[in-house]
Amino acid sequence: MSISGSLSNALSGLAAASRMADVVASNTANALTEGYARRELLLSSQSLGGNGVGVQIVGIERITNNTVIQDLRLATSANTAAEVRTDFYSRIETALGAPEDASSLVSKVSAFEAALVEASSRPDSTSRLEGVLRTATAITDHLKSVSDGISAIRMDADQEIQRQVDTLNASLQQVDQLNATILAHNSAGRDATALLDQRQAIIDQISAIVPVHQQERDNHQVSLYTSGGAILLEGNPSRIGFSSVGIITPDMTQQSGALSGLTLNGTPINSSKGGVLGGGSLGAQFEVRDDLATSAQTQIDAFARDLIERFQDPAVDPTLNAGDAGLFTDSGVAFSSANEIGIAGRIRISSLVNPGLGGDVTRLRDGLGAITAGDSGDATLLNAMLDGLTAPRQPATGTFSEGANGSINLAADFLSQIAGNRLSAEDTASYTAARQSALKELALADGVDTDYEMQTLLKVEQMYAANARVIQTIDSLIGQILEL
Amino acid sequence: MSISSSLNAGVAGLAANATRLATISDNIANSGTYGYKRATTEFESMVINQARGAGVYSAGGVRASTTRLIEERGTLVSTSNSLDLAVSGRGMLPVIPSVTLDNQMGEQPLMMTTTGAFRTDSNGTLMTESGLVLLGWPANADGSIPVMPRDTVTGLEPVIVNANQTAGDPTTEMNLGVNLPAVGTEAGATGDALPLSVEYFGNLGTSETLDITFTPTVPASGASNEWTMIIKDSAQGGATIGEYVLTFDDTRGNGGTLAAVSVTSGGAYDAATGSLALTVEGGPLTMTIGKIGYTNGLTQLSDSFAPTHITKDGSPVGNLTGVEVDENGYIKATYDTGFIRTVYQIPLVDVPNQNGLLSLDNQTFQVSPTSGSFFLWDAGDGPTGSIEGYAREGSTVDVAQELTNLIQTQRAYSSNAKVIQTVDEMLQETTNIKR
Repeated sequence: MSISGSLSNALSGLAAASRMADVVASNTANALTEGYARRELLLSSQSLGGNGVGVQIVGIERITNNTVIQDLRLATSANTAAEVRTDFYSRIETALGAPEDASSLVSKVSAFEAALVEASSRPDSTSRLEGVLRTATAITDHLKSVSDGISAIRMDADQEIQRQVDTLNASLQQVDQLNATILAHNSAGRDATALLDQRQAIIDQISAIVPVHQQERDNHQVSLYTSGGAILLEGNPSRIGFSSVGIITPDMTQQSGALSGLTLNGTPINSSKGGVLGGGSLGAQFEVRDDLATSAQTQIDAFARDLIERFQDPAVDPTLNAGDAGLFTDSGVAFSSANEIGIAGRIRISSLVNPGLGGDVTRLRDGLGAITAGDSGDATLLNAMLDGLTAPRQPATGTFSEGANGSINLAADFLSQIAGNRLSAEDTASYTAARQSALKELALADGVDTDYEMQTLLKVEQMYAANARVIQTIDSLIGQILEL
Repeated sequence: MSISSSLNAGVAGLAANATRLATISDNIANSGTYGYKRATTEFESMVINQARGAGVYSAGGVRASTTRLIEERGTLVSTSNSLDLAVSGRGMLPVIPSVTLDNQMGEQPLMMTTTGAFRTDSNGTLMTESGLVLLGWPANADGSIPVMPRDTVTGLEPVIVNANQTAGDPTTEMNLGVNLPAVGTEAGATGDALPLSVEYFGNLGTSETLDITFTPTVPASGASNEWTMIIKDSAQGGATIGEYVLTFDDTRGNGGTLAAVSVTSGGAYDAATGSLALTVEGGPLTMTIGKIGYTNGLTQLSDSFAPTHITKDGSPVGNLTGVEVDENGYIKATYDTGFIRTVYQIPLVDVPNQNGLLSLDNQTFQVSPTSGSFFLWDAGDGPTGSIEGYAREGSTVDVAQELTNLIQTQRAYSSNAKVIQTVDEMLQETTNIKR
């Protein structure tokens, strides 16, 4: 009977309207949810045997702009990488101290210079000689703290790499499982859009670690690979391997085999910034651990070596024999160029001048190798030391500005290199952050528009009322027949 | 005497209208029954006196005959269950009563119905609440339907769908679309091999991988545009199943496309289809890497290594998630891995004279001598219509028409009663002549 056909038509209209209201409600409820993509209900007319039988709900479409999401992910990777570099330079800069700051390396070298000047004017004053000792110790302590700080940064980076690799592996497993669940949901005809949201959020997390690209595969599956070309997920998730070490000393490097590199499915890969997993914060952490921190260590070692060599020279202190340690020592013994790596952490004041260790400060005036006390008014050695400290000298190693310089200038030069690098890293970071936030705004613009949803809701209301009206009319038609 | 014939005719009229009332009430009672075919009552007059102008007339009365209009089709109503089946057009679904399922002796009576809401019972048999079991031809393991006799029920079996059924689907074809970095073959490049692992599914549904490495040939100067592709199969313990040297074009227009593929070992490269005939553990696997000069297969452009599109058939072992029936009557089982397999075909039964079928309970019909013998058609072939899932066929009863008939019947019945009453009064008059 065609009247019952009209009834089922109207009923399908009611079902579609209520489902539409459901979608509007879900969109509105998630208007502020991060990573939620707007849904739209797809309707089509239904036909059975060539006759129209109302409306059919085809499915729920998730509206996303994949290009913007992809760009946002790459921008996120670039930004996290830039932030890691900025963090590194500011930590080194803080460790060295600003020149105007009394606790900075530059101020400490200049305090040592001033103490030498003071002592040379009254060489008989023990307190002034002790001032020389005190300021010299301050320099060695500072160098040690900078060197330890660099090692701590490298250890932090190592731990962070381990954490990120673990997160990456876990996230890839999750994406793989979500792929399977989404497939199962779709083949059973269930709505999998919430799972798609979840998968997108996890891939967004991955993008903070490595610059990840997403490729759509059949049946709503995705495969993931990095900008460098490492396949992260293609049917099966890749396994990224890394093992962190407990403690890092300046001589431990990846080349020496003491530190771990990355493996992809058991095969070692190039883990540096330009490697297949580089470009995000993971690559930046490797850059910090293996490149930036080691070159800072080289510089601070070069400064420490230069300082030791200035005072180890028998020309400065005639009481020293060739091969004897000077005022600054390598843990008490003479410095040898073979042991340069990590010297900044081992530099100590000779125990000969330290009363606390059985030495005598007067040796600063009489010579470190002096057997008997000299003339208390003789400032020759102190002056020679002052000259040694301030004399222009080309450092044997390290990368400093051209030409010979005094020790204080070397310290200032090193600091300005770090500060310059920090500024340029900050520049990059602010650029990448701006790019990321611009893309984020673009991505959010594709999200839920509550005004639009309310407009749809009005239409839903009308549609529901109209269908209910049809049912009411059919009811009264049947009533008419029965009243005959 | 003609007056008594009037009495008889009146009684016959009462009986005929009572029959009509019975069909009307049955129709109205079944106006909401899916698959119900409306019954009608036809009145035939009976003639006793053939003498013309004899001056006497004997009333012959009326005879009622009922028929069921089986050919008439109800409107299809959509539902939300995939196994609610209806036929759009001619033909009926073959069913048997569940009580005869275990009957090993004798021929099982083929019954047919136009619509049914089929559900699985505890054994996985598809049947309706009223106990009608759906029949179909079982498919082979590869999903094809064997040739079956069309004029007997011998090939038909009860349709059984096991919810915990699993099925695997091995990979036999794979398309590889990968961009190799052109800078990799320039002089001074590192020459690092680029790894790519692609999953495939073995004959037993196991997940295996093809480990493919692309190693660039780095020349002393210039660019070689040459890569060595080595394919290893994890199912064979990582044995090399193919080694090919790929040369890419660097001319304008064709830049970056394959220029030549030379086989070092393994299956041949077919230039016509752009595919490699590999042999994995379970058998042959065709890997399409693209024809010469083709931009959608392996390419060598720019500096990025990107698997742009990798597609393959096959799926891992999956669990049954749904069963649907398509318009040609194929029952398709869908697995949670996305794999769809044909498990049965439901034929449509058709007879020359549908109205001659024997009507039985539960809107079923059976072949009778007047209907002619049945033939099993593929749905949609010949005179038959298509099978619709998610649909039921509504009752063919039009309540408005039945109510109108009811009014007519009521009036006719009281008129006949009036005739009887009048005859009675006239006979009374005759009796009263003698005091």
